[in-house]
Amino acid sequence: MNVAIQNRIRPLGRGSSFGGIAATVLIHVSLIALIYFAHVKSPPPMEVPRDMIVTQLVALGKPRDKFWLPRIVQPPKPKAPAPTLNLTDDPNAAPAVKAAPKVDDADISKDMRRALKRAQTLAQATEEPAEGSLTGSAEGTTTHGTTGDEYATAVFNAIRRNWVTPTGLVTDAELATLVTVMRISISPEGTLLSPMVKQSSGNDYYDDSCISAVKATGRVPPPPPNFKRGFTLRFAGKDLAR
Amino acid sequence: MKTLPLATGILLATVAFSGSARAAEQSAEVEDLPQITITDPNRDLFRLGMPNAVGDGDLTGTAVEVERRDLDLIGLFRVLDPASFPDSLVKEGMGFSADLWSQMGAQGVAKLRAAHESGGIAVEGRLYQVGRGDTPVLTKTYHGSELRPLVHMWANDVILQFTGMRGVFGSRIAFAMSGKTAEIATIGMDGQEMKVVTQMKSQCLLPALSPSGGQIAFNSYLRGGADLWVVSASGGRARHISDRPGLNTGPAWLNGNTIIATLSFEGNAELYKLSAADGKIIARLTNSPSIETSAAVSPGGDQIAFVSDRQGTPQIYVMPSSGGGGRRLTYQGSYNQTPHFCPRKETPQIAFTGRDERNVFDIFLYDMRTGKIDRVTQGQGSNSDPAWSPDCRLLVYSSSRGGLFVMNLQTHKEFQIYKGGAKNPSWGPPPAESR
Repeated sequence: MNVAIQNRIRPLGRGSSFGGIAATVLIHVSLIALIYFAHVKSPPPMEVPRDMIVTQLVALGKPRDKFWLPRIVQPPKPKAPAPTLNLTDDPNAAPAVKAAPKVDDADISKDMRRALKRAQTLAQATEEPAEGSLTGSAEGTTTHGTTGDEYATAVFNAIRRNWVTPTGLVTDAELATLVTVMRISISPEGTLLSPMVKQSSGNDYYDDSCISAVKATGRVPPPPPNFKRGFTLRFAGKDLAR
Repeated sequence: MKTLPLATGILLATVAFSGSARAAEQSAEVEDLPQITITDPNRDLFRLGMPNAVGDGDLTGTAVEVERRDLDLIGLFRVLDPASFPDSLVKEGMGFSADLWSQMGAQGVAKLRAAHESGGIAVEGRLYQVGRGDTPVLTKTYHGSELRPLVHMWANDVILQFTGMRGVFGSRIAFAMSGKTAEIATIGMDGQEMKVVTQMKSQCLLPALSPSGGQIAFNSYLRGGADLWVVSASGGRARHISDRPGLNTGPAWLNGNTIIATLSFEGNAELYKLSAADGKIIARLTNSPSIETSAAVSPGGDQIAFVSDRQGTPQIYVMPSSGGGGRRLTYQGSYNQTPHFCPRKETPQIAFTGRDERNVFDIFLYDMRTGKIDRVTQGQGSNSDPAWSPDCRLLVYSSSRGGLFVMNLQTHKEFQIYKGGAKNPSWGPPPAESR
């Protein structure tokens, strides 16, 4: 077996040709080149640099300050002509006092007008009324309750309830001006005694209505221990404070 | 002798001193007691009791009925129901028990006696006021041939006693009947004694009583057109005073001889002064392309109020009685008409009819001094054609409620004085004894 092989393998140098070798090398080189170029990628295309586009919703912002908004530009007002020198004026005299700007002046700025109006309002503003109570009365006149004369209040309520003036015979206009002053005594039991007109109103029907009010009342609660003895009743047709 | 003047002087000085001392004491009495101020009284009408009259039976019923109606109608009193009076008061006669009447709640009591006397009737009236003692504050006796006028005089005196201004009971109101009969009639201001004064048998409108109350100028369509006529207030044959082409309407008396009327014979409705005797034109008062009508004369005769649509809608204007110009008075509302001056110069007011936003007509008052307008009627149907009483206390007007109504302007008390179709009332002068 080894002889066959040996016979078949010709040792180099014995019968080889240069051409063959060259051909072999050439073939091998070709093959290698062929393989190489087959596996070499085509150069990538030339890339042109490009920015990325980013999309966002515009948020709702605050309105721009009007100061920044375009305005209609008014032409400047023509300047007043320079004052001519009046030779009779005293050059050393103090300058004339300028009058204070007024709200109605046409040539003052809006800010100035606003400031003047505010100053006017503040000047006219009256003192804030003192607060009352949440349980107070719409007709209240004091900030806090005080304890008055309870007995006088009881007598007032009893007589006022019975006081009726005749419409038609005493007009509303007359009522506003009429005043009758009476004097009454009150017994220890509360009986109204001796009604007496001390000052007439000048209108008989009005005076009569006051007397009738006292007589119709007749009786009030018994007076307290330290009670004087009576009251002066002043019947005033209208409460002018209202 | 020398000591006599000295003694007299000492005596006088003592009296004067004690008088001033008493006044000071009283003042001190008033001042040293605690004071209570009472204000804003309740308001109500004066309560007046009127018991049955005494005297001759055939007169007493009517007498007290007239008295009660008059003193109720004037709108100043609350008339107490006589059915509530106890027997003791019924039998009181002409006397007066203050305590009993006070218990009834009366503030005043009016009593009447009516009796026949030779040649006529006598009516005695007494007025008492509770709290003023047992003597009457007013006592009067009247003599005449008819009962009603005498009781009216008593009512007028009672009103004078209370208010200082005499009443006008006995005056009459002229008006145009409407419906089946369209004649001119007059009626007492108490709604009694109605009388039809025309027999035109045609549509009659806009009666105007003359200043004396003796004549009535009015419109009639007897001859087909709107013509002007004048008739005696007591009735009779009417006189034809203007039948010019077009309108002859809206008469108002300037004085006893002159009438202001609307005529349109020259092509447009204008105001003219005419003679009441024959309708002759005295002067033309307006000259405007608009309609001028519904004239009313002021108390002194120096101004004429009228209605014109010269600025688009019917409004009330005023001009001098010599004519020309015209100052507009009403600016509220789109339809104001039928002005009527208060007959008293002391009360410069004009009553008129205005239409409100609901298309309802109502009565309004215009104050000539302030320009203020007050509403008189509201929510009571449709009311129109106001006319003042001679004392300016009352207004009469026609109403869609059917008839004529009278209202007291101070108390707003309202009465119906005529039921039926009635319009354009015109109030005559006060009765003779009140003038």
